[in-house]
Amino acid sequence: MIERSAIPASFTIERHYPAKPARVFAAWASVEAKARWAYCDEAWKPQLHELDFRVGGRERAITGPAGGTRHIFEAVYWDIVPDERIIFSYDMHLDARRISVSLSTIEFLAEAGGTRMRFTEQGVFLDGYDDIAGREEGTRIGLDNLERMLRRAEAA
Amino acid sequence: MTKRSTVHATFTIERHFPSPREKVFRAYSDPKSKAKWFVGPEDWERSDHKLDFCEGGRESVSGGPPGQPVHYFNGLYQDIVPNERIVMSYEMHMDNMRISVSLGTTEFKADGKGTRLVYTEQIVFLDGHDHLAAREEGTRALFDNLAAALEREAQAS
Repeated sequence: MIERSAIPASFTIERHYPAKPARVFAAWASVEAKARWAYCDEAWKPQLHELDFRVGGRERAITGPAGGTRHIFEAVYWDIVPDERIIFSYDMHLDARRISVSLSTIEFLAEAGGTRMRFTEQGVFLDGYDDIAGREEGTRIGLDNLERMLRRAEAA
Repeated sequence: MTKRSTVHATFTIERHFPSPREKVFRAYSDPKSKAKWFVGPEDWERSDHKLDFCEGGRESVSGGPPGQPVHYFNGLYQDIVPNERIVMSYEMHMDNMRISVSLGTTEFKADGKGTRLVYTEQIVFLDGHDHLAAREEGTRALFDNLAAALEREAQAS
């Protein structure tokens, strides 16, 4: 029998990106744009990625190492303010096991030379899965990828 | 144009109920039981409460004091472990304005013959609607309702 637990945690990451809020926002708003940066590990090929980017819409992505554990992300969008804010809740499964449920807020603020983006995650980590540092690290890797993508796009 | 802002907050409420956790959980899972306690103050006008208690299922209700803005609750069940845990996300609107989005985790733990309930809410308040004290107070009032409903049920059986 599984020993049940739920550990609440939260973290905030702020980044400056050298692109206008509309461009940074657009990187979150379609599968095509998101696929260029959102996977934690470049070697992880998504087996599926669907995104219905509207309030009430859903997103589903299945990634992970080839032949290994499947990381299943399922989200629902609660609030979208074009070029300004995105709020979604999501759960993560490792194969059949639900390891967390989270609420994510992303804010896009215009500032000199580009955009300040603030990512806040509030979540509960379930049933002994408590790799909160790993979640934050994975998120940072994604946001690093996003920065590289935006820099390439601005340079082009 | 709305000036956009966010305030992130968390609160936790713990309650002990004399009823066993199967009964406390049932007050959440059974639509008729939940409608008895998941309501605002008595003078509030309210709509029908809708509850589809399953993972991916929805819950909604609206209500408010006469002549005041209507509070609309719209929730989504994300994790259900029978008799042990419920995780849901929900939004609150006042009239047509979304004022918050929350993640609410309810844990039901056996505590002697009764139940210790631990409720944690992680919230983002939107666009100047920073209602943490009111939200926490409103949630405590709901647990008072729940305690009264469970007591009535225990006396009836």
